[in-house]
Amino acid sequence: MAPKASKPPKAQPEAPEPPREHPSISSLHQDLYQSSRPFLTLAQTKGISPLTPTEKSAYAKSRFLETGVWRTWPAPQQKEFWAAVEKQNIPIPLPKPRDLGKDSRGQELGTYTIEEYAQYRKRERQLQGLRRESVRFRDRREKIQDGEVSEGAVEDERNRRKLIGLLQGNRMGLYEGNPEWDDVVPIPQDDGEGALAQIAYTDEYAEAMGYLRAVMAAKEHSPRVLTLTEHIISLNPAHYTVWLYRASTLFSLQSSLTEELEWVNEVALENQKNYQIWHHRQLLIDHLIPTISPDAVKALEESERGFMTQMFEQDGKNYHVWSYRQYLCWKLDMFNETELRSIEDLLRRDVRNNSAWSHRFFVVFSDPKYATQGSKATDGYFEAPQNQSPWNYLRGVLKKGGRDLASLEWFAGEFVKIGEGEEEDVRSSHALDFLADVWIEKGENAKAVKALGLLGDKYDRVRKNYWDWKRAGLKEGGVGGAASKMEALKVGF
Amino acid sequence: MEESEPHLNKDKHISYWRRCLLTLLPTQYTSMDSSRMTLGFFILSALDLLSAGPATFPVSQQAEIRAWILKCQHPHGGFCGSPNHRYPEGLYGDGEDIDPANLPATYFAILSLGFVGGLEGVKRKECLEWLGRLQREDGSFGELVTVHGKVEGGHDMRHCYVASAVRWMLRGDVPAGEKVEGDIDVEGLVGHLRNGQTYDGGISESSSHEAHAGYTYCAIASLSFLNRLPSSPTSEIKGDLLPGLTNIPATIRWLVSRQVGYRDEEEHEEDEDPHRSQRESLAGIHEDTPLVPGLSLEDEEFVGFNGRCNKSVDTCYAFWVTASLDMLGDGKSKLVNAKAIRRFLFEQTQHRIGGFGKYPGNPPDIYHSYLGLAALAVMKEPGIKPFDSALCVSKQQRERITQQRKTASVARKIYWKHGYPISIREDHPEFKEKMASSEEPPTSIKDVVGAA
Repeated sequence: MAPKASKPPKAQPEAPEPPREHPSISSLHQDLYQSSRPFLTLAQTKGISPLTPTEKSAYAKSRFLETGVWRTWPAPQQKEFWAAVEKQNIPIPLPKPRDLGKDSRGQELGTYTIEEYAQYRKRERQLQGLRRESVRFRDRREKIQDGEVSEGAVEDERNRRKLIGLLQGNRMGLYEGNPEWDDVVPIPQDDGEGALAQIAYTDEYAEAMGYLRAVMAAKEHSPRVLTLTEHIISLNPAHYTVWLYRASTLFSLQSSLTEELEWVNEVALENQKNYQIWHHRQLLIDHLIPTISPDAVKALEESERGFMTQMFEQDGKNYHVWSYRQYLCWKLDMFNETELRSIEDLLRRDVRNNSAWSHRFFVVFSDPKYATQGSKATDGYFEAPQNQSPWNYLRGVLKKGGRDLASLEWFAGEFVKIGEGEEEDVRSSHALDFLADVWIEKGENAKAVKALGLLGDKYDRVRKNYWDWKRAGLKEGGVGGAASKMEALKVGF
Repeated sequence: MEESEPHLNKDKHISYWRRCLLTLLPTQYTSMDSSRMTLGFFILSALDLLSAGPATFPVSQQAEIRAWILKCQHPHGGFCGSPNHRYPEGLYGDGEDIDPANLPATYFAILSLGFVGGLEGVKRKECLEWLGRLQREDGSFGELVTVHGKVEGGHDMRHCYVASAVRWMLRGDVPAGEKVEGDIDVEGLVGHLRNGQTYDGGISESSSHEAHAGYTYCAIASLSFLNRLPSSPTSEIKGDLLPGLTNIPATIRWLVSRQVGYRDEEEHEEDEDPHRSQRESLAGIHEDTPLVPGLSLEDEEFVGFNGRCNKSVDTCYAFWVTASLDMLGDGKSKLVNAKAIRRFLFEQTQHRIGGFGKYPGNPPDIYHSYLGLAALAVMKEPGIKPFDSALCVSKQQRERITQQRKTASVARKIYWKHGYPISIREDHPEFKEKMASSEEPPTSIKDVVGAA
C-alpha cells in the first residue's frame, strides 16, 4: 500500500477555548483561585496608577469583596454596591486554597487528579458514615447491660469494620476488627531506646501479642483465649508462657483433652524442633489419665505409639519425641515386648539410629523384669560393624551386668585379626578400640599400644591426637606399670 | 600458623555483628521473640570477643542498653526473656506473677549487664531466693516457677547450667562442700548431673536418655561453677562428696568421637577414593550416608562435629565439644583435630558476609555465628580474645564480672547533704560518720518515701 501523502491540515473553525486540563486537584484549586481575582491580580502585576478608571473601580470593588468591609455599610449602600458588582461582572474572590493534607499512606492529597480526589471525598464520606454506625453499635451494646447483642448485629459490625479497613486502605487488625474483642485494651510491648535484638515483627504478630498480654494480665480463661493462644503459638511456638496459659485455660474450661491432643499432633508434625509442645503434651496426658478407664489407657498407649511412629518417619532421632517416649514409658508402664519390638522396627530401618539404641538400653535396664535378660546386641546388629552405636551399647550392657570387657574379646576378635609380621585385617575401628581396652584391662599393654597405634596411624586418623595421647599415657605407665595409671586410661569398665 | 591455612577475617565478622546490633532482625526471628535477651547477649559478647565490644560504644548507648536490660527485670527477682514478657509496673500484684521470670533469660541478662556498667541494679537477694524455688526434689532446675509454686520446664541440663552460673555470678565462688545459708541444694544438683551420664560416656538431657554434646557441655560447665571438676581450683573433694563426673576417661572418649570427617559431596564425586572397596565392604548391608562416621583411613581435610552418635555435623557442636574438653583439664582441647576443624569452620560454614551458618552453605544466624566464633576462641584463634569455656565469654569479661560482683554485693545507703541524696557503700571508711551527719531528707521526698 502506497503511503499516503501528507496533506497540510485543514483550517480548523474557531472553537471556544477548551477548559484547561488540570494535572492535579491542587492545580485546579489554584486556577479557580486565580480566575476569581482578575482585577486584584492586574493591580498586583501592573500597579494601580496605569489602570483605566473602569479597572480602578473594579479593583476597588474586588478589594471590598475580599475584605468583606461592605458588610459594615448601611443597607441602601450595600444594595447599590451589589448592583454595581453585577453590572461590571466582577467575580467574588475565593479564599486562598488550603493545604489538603495527606492520605493514610502519607501521599499529599493535592497531588491527586480531580477524579481521584472526587473518589477520595466520596470514600471519606462513606467512612464517616460507617464510623458513626460503629460508634452507635458500641453505645447500644454498652446500654444493654446483661443481655447479649444479637449475633446478626455483631456480624454486621464485623463486616462494617472490614469495609472500614478496606476504605481506609489499611486493613484493621484481626482483633481490632472483631467486635468480640472490643472489651480488651491491648498492652503493646514497651521496647524503648537501647533495645537489643529488635525483630521486624509483622503487624499481625504485634497486634496478637498485645491482646495476649492484656488477656494474661486480666487472667481471663475463656474459649476465645484458646483461639488467641493458638494464633500466638502458630507465630511463636517457643513462647515459654503461652503454652502454660493455654493448658490452664483448657483445664479451667474442662475442654476436651482428646481434641486438644489431635490439635497438638498437627502442630508437632509441623514444628519438629519445638520443645514446649512436648511439655504441653505431658500436662495433657497427666490430666487425662486419671479420668479414663484402663481400657482407654491401653488404647491411648497404642495411639501415642502410632503418633510417635509418624513423628519418627520424619526424623527418627528427634530428641524431644524420645524424651516424651521415656516419660510415657514410666507413666503407662510400657516396659514390654511391644515397646521393644517397636524399637527393633526402627533399628531395622536405620541401624545407626543411636536414639533408638539408647532407648532400647533404657527399656531393658530401667525395668527389673528385663534386667536379667542378656543382650541381643551381638546377635543381629553387627551387619554394619563400622557403627559405633552397638559397640557403645555392648560396653554399656557389660558394665550393667558387672562383666569384664574381656568376656567379649572373642567377639570383637571376629572383626580384627592382628598377626605377627603379616598385615592386619581390620573390619571395624570400633572393634579395634574395644580390643585395645580389653588389653589394657588385662594388662597386655604391648598389644594395646599396637592397637592404639593402628587406630591413630591408619584406621581412625581423624582422632589421631586422641589415640596418640592415650598411647603415650600407656607407655608412661610401662608394661605392667602403675595400676593407677591404667585405671585412669581404662574406659569405664 | 601456615600461610596457606584460612584465617579469621575480623572486619567481616565485626560488620556482621554490628548489623545485628543496629538494625532490625528479619521477621523469621519472631520464633525467638521470647529469647531476645539471649540474642542480645550473643551480640554484645561477640563484639567483645572481637575487641569491638560495648566498652567501645558511646557512653549514652551503653546506658540505654543497660536501661533496657534492667527494664526486663521481673519485680520479684529474675529477668524476663523480652519486653513482650514484661508488663507495665502497676499490673504486678504482691505474689501474683502474670508472666514469671525465666531462668535462661536471667543468666543472659546478668552476663550482658556485665558489659554495660556492672551488676548493680540486679535484685540480688530476690533473684537468689527465686533461684532456690526453681529447684526440684530431684536436684534439677526448671525454667520458671508459677504462682502456685509449680516448677515448669524440662528437667534438662541447660537449666542446671544456667542455675549454677547465676549462683556463681551473684553468690560467688563457693568451695565444694561448704554450706551457705539460703543456698540451693548443691548435692542434689550434683546428684542429678551424675545421673545424666550415659552408658557411652556422654551426658544426656536427664537420666537414661541419649547422650548429647550440648547437655554434656552444660553438665560439665555446671560442675565447674560448683568446683566439682578435677581441674577446679578448690577441687580437693572433702569427706564423702562424690566427684562430679562418674567416668572422665569415658567422657573424653565420647567427646572426641563427635569428630566427623566432612566431605563436600560435589567436589568429591570425581575424586578417586583409594579405599573405596574397603569402605564399601565395611558399610555393611545398610546404606552408608556420606556424613556417617566411617573408617577414617586418610587425613581428612575438613572435620566437623556432631552432637550425638551417627548424626550429621553442625557448627555449634564444635563449641559444645571443644569447650567441654577444655574444662576437663589443661590441654584436653588439644586432643581434637584442630587444623581440620578450623578449615571446616572457615571454609564450609563461615559465610561471606561474616558470621557462621548451621550447616555448610547455610546463611548465618546469631546462635551459630556466636558458637562458631566461640569454638575458634577455645582453640585459641589469633584475633579473638582469650576465652573462658564455662562462662562462655572472654577471660577478661569473666574477670570483670568477678570484680563487679564484689562491688555489687556491698550494700549502699543514701545520706543527705545540702538537700541532695548521696549514695555511699557500707564498706566506705567514713560510712558511719557520713550516715551520722545526714540531714533530714527534704519534706517533699519524705512525703513519698517516708522518713529515712
